[in-house]
Amino acid sequence: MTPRERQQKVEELFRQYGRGVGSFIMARVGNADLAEAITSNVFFVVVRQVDQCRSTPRAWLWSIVRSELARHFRRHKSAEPLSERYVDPALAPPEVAARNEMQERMQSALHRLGDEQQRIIYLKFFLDVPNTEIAGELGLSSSNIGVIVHRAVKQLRELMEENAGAPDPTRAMSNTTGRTQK
Amino acid sequence: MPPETNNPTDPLIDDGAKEEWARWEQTFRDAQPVLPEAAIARIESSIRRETDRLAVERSNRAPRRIWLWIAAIIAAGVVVVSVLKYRQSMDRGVPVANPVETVVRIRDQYPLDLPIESAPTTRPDTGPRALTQVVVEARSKSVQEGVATYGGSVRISAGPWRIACGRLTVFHGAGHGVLLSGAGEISIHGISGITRATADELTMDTENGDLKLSGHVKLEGSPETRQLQSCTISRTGSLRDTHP
Repeated sequence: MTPRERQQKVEELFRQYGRGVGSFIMARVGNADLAEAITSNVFFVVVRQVDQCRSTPRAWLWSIVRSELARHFRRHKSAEPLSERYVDPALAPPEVAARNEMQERMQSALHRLGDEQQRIIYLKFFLDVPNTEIAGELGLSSSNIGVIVHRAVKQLRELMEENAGAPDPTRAMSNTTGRTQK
Repeated sequence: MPPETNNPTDPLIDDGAKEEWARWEQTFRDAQPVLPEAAIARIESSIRRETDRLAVERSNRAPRRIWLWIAAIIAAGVVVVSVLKYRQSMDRGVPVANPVETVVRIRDQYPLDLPIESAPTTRPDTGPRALTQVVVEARSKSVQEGVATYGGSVRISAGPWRIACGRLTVFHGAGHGVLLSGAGEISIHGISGITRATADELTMDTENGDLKLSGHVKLEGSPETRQLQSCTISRTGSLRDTHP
């Protein structure tokens, strides 16, 4: 692969998935600066290893996102969660507050989801991948993908509603493997 | 719009639930955090810088890799030439300045040598006595399936004979003795009545002590020198089966 081809492929990947990846990472870490740094790291890995992208780009990108997030949580296991969030200036204060609360619940719930369910949520909501393509990526049949996706969303919703009273991000931060904590 | 996640065949999900799910999914999508455009632009430019840096780094690394390959190829060539030269010198039996000689006593390979020595009367008195000891000095030795091969300035001491040759192969015969087969610039001293004998090939049976020479056989004696195609020399030095 020539440097030009490499650059084109990386730019194409960033155009296609950069925003989705950044959004998912921000949902996981809850801080715009951190999310920017981790997203940069993800795409630095992409730049260095783009020759190794033999499977589908989305699956390969997911493996990088997952390992970069795991590295971040290993390093910041004992650190206090940061609460600085990006605020959309177009929103009114009550809307901002509601959104912040929703994002906190989302962050906590995503931490507590299993690895595969996290991947489904990442593909469905953050990369806007249709169910049929999710089925192909996960190696599942298209007949039952709807149920599997629904179960993942349902669990996410339950976890978010469970956290509605008192979000506990510190507990979630300790879950670096992404395993479900019941 | 019904949510995509809902399976229409799932009896647990009715139309009302579908709508409720769709609303929730929309709320979730709306609440998803989004990286600011400025951050996206910064990431994009840092990716471009990293790509450029990597391109420069790789282009700098390429010539160094080529030089390493050239050095490796030259080193491999030197090793191959050295091995070939060494093997050639072994084949020719050319002595080197400080040869590392290994002394191999054929005697150890005679399983019945001791009984023959201790009870020589069991052998016919008129017949030739078996050689009881053959000493081989050579630079290298290899054994494969019971056949020993010596190479590189082979020196053989067998009874009164002192033999030099390039290569020697030692076979165990059907009897108690061994068969020695030599080749390459053969030179023999110690034959009665002959100053020096040279030949291309030799065969020696330690059972009867006969030495068969073939190839360009040259027997240098004090009165005359004879050239033959092949001949057999007995332990006593008598010559027979000569082919001029």
